[in-house]
Amino acid sequence: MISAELGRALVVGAVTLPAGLWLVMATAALVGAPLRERWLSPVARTIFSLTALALVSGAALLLPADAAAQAIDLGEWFAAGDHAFHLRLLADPPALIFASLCAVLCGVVAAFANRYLHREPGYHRFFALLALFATGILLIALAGSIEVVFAGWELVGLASALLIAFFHERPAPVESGLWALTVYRLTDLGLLGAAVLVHHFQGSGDFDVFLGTSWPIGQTPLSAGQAGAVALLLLFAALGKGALLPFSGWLPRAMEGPTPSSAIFYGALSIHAGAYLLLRAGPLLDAAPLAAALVALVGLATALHATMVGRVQTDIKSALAYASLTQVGIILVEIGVGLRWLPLLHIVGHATLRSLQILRAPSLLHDFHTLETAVGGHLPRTGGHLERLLPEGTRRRLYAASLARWRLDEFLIAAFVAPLRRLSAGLDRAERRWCALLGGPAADDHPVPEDTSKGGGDAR
Amino acid sequence: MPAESALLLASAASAADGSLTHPLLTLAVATPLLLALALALAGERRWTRGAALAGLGLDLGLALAALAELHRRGAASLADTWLGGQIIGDAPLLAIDRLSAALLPFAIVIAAVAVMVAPRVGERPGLIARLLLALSLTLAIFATVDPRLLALLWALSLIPPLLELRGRGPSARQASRVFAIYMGASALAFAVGVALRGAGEPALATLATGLLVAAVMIRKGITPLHSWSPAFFEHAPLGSAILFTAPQVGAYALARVVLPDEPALVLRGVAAAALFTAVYGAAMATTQADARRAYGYLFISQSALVVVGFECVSLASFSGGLSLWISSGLALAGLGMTLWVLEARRGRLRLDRFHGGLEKTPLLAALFLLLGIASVGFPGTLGFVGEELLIDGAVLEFPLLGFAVALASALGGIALMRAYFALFTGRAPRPGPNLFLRPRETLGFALLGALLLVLGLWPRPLIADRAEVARGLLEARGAPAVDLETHR
Repeated sequence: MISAELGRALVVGAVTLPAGLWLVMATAALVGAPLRERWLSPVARTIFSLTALALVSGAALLLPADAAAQAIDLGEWFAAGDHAFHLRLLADPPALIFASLCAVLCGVVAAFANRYLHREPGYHRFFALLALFATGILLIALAGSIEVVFAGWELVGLASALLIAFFHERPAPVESGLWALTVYRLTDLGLLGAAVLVHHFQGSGDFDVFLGTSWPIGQTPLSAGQAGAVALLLLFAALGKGALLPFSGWLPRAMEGPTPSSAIFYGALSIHAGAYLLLRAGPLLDAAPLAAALVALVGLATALHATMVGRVQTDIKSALAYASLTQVGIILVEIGVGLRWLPLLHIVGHATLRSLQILRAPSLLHDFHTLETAVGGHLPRTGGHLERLLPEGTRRRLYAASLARWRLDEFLIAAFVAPLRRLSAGLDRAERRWCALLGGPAADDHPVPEDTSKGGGDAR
Repeated sequence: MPAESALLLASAASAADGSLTHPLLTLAVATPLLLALALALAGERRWTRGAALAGLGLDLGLALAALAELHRRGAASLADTWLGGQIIGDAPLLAIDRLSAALLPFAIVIAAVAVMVAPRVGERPGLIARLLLALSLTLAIFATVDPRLLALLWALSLIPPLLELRGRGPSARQASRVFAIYMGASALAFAVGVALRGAGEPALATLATGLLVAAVMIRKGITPLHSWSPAFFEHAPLGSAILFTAPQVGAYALARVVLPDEPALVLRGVAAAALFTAVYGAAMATTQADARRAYGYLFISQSALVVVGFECVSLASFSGGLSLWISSGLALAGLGMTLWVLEARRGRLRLDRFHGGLEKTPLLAALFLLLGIASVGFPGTLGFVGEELLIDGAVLEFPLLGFAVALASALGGIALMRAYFALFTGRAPRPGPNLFLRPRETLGFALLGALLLVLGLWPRPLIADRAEVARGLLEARGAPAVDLETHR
């Protein structure tokens, strides 16, 4: 009993530690004395080490405990009438395993970034955003209610967008960050919609109310239709964070960010957040076979897309991003066909390997040069077995489509962004004309903007 | 006494403790007014800002004392009979209830931050005195119990922003005329609506309802009667524009005059228009090239959500709307003020190019982002709490409402981040303007940001208070509040 209480305290402490680091950094900046690099570095490493240690220790204490001991109720957040919102964490096996992975990888990346970003102008910004991200991803991992997931989900999205735009003096990273955020915000509607529906159906967003208490065999009290509707909304949310089809286009753009954040966000953790969410919602998929089939189908399509596009990438980070996406697609297939432990282990294994690969990516070119110098020529190309099975014409067409990344972003912009911009520009002109009619011609230096919807490859 | 005044003071009149022992409300309204006059007479001095802040500190103390007195006595409302006794003999002119008691400190905090961060450059002399005058009128509106006096103050409160627009010269002529037409119409409609309500004729009562609703929609900037708002934000001095709009006098008039008596269909219509405004404004904000205009659209979008909660579907959604009143007012005011100080350093801000400066002014960038995400209901801020309650309480009756509120928040977030990236990222010109924040500016923004974060993480007291207000207003409408609570 005491060990379970200690375990719960350690888990809560682990979530608050990165948040505390962010708070300390923010306060120091506010009072005009931002932490110096030589202080921030050991403080950040200590915080992330303690976070990992607390979670691994908490996991060791709580994994053998029963389901009741693994639920952490932090009290009522707010209430109006009979609408009450509770702050709940859930330290069950998938949560503890994923959270421990998150904490360990955040710690590794913090240690790596300490040297990688040494004396970079954005050194503080990186660590502040890493602390924000760590708080968010731990909230997602350990959430005991859908509201807590949403809070973590938004923190992760914000930190991701800001880190993609980290090298902000060039326009490309900033445009990529805005595009990623646009995709996140719109697909986040799925998570919010799921939260609303769950409250509507069950009166509470707590996992134990609508997912049952014993993962992975919990049973949802929702009907098949209700479970399917909630599951589809969660899948929509997962499409954005997981860069699944048709929202895969932001992922290679996200590699504009610094390598450590690419490793942890798009190789290891953020990209698996959608898969983890669907894994948690397993009981809903069990109750709604059609939704589960759709999850598998999306996963399959994403894996096929990513493996094709990944094969024609010419830079190492993009190739690794698509390799990640291929695996995430396969993980979704595993979830869709009803497996639970295998996708969880797949997430852990893949996240660990891929983050190592991405962290090693900057020095890979150096390794290749060394190897090619040693063998006296180019290294032989590998991995072309499947390609040789295809006819030449098909191979060429697939090559062209893959090189254009299946034009997914162009499709989204043409289908959704450009019409919105055209409509908005038209309405803006109409409003200005109405004002001119009422108040006479505008005599200022702010002319009516041109219709900027044409030729937009960016999100602005 | 008109019906609304009777409603407001129903319990105060019957309760022995319904009157304040000291003229706290008179003093709270008069302090900024007298201070404004004194500062205007003294002219621009080195101590002007300090004196104004000291006066506002005193004013905040008075407003908080009135709020504390209301809670201490457990009264539904408290009247300040001093001013009424001096002027018209018997009826109190000023009073507070649970709705308005929290609005006085809310308006004072916004004004205090505006005074703290008000730039010295780019503004006409006497700015701080004008801000104090505007605050005094807003406080008088929030503390007014007589609808006729409310109509008069409504009209008077239009004069300072109109003069500010006129003071901007020919470049703001169009905006000034549009503002005058829209706001003149709103003041007239409100006054005539109030006058006709007492006539007793059903046809006139219907006309009165229409006029009152139109007046509120114009003042609140609800589509299709919002067109003055983007133009106003584009051309008016930002500080005055924020003080005119952020306290949301239109929402107050809706709660005080329209909500108690008008049929549910009317409220539903206003809420539907507000819901459309929320999505429309956010979508328009995502594509604007001018930072002020984008802010104007974002403002009408997020502040419209307050009115959505007034549909009175449930106690939770109404409480959500009332708490969004506080959160959107504080956050949007803070966001606008960050634009104000940035504009004072850089001149007119466009969103179709990158201005740079993130490394030079990380603090201003971070505070802009914090106040911005609080404006669009980001988790951890008070706005998120309000939106959750609003959606969750109303979704049973109107599933579309939940989707529309979420869409407005999502689009608002995109608009905000687009503005953030345009204003702070990119390569800054070298040598560029001095972008470092002064300590008073840092303090002002940090106070607002901390308030929104603390209330977002620990919202229980505020939400409980707003829920009590919602319950009182629903009961005053004759709505079965208990049924509304347990509708699920």
